[in-house]
Amino acid sequence: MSYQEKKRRVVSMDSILGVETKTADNEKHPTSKIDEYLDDIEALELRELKQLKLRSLIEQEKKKLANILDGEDINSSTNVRNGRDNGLNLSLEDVRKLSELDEEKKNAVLATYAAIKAAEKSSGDNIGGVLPLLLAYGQTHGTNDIAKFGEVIVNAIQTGMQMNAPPEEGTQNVKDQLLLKAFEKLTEKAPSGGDGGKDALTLIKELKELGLIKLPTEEKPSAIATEEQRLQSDRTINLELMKLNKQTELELKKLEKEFQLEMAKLNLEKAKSDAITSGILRLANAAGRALAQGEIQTLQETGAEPLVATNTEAEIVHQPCPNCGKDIAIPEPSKARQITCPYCNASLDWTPTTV
Amino acid sequence: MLSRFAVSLLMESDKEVAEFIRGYMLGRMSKVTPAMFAQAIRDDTALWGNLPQGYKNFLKNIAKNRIAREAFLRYERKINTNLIIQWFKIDRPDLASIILNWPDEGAIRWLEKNINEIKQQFKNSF
Repeated sequence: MSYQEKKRRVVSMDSILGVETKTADNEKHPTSKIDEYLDDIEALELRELKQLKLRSLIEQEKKKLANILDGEDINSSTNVRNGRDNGLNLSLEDVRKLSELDEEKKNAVLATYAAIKAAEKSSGDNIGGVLPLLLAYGQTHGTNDIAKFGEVIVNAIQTGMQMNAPPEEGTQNVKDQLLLKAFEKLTEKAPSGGDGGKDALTLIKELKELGLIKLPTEEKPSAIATEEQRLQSDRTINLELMKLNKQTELELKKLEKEFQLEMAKLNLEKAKSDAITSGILRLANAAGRALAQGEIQTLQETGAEPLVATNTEAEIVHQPCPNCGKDIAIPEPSKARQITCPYCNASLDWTPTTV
Repeated sequence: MLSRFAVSLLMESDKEVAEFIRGYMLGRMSKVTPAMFAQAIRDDTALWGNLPQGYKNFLKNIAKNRIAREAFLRYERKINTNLIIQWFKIDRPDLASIILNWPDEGAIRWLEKNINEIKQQFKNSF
């Protein structure tokens, strides 16, 4: 049974309960408390649906936000979709450069980079920006040198080295070149198979002199760098939040439109249903009256006794209602009591002296 | 003839059943004045008992109609004194005034007794 059919059946209870049926003004579309109640239920159901949709939307957005706050890459889902999420977070530029290397070097660079990332994870530090250097180094050096480069960096991480915050765009190449030169110098100096720890210490000293790295004890620049990173992160989060808000707003507008459309449809169907029901009811009422009239006529023709007494001795007083002005019939007017106006339901004090 | 056909046709829905009863009651009361009504209450007139035998049989035949029977059983409890008074208020406020203002709710008790009797007679005809 469809909703409308159900509704018609339920609406059909109105005249049985018929308490609030308005006959004068709403002859065409009688309304009652049941109609209003059903309308309320409709509105509530739609509102509930809307709230559910909204809640699921909010949950999605909350998840996204939580991921962002957890430091997950905003575009990580895009990376996964593009099949680029290989655990190394390679950028497109990195991949392009990597593809330019021959197979052997490529494998060496990747293995070294993976080792550096592993070292980063275990130490909890993030030196950042090492892959471009590694790639640049890999282009001009052999696989052994690449491995040595990795070894130096890993040792450096383990001894607490922290790279400077990524330089600004214009100075990137210059710094890279300087750093590259420094590494070249160091690897030339270092005897093959030498002590990794010593290499690292030397590297740190040299790099510090060149102003390319800073040690964790150098509080001030570190604080600035952290602050910059925090600001950067805040900006990213704000941007993402704005995006999410915009999406939510659009979704809400869409839901609102759907809701309005649905309401318009329901109203139309209700009006149609009401018109049909009203016509049938008038017919039913008329049939009942016709039946009764026919009986009365037959009674008169056959001379049978009427249903109620024709004796009109009963004492009745007619008094206008002080509230609505309509005529109230008061039986047994000699008794003082509370009376009720059948038109306006006003409760009035009746005293025999007013007769 | 018309009435029997109309009853079968209209008793498809509960609302129509109620409207039919309401229309029938209104028709029967069309020539009843407040004074006549008050007298009937005072005399404790039995509505079913005063009905001519031909019409009792006719109503009993209606009760044998399956659709009418089912509708009656479904809504027997809802066709009660309060509902009838509400109908009176709308269709015959002069008579409603008599019922409402009768001392010590005597008219309401009279109406209730008659409604129950008619319902019982109708049920006995199944």
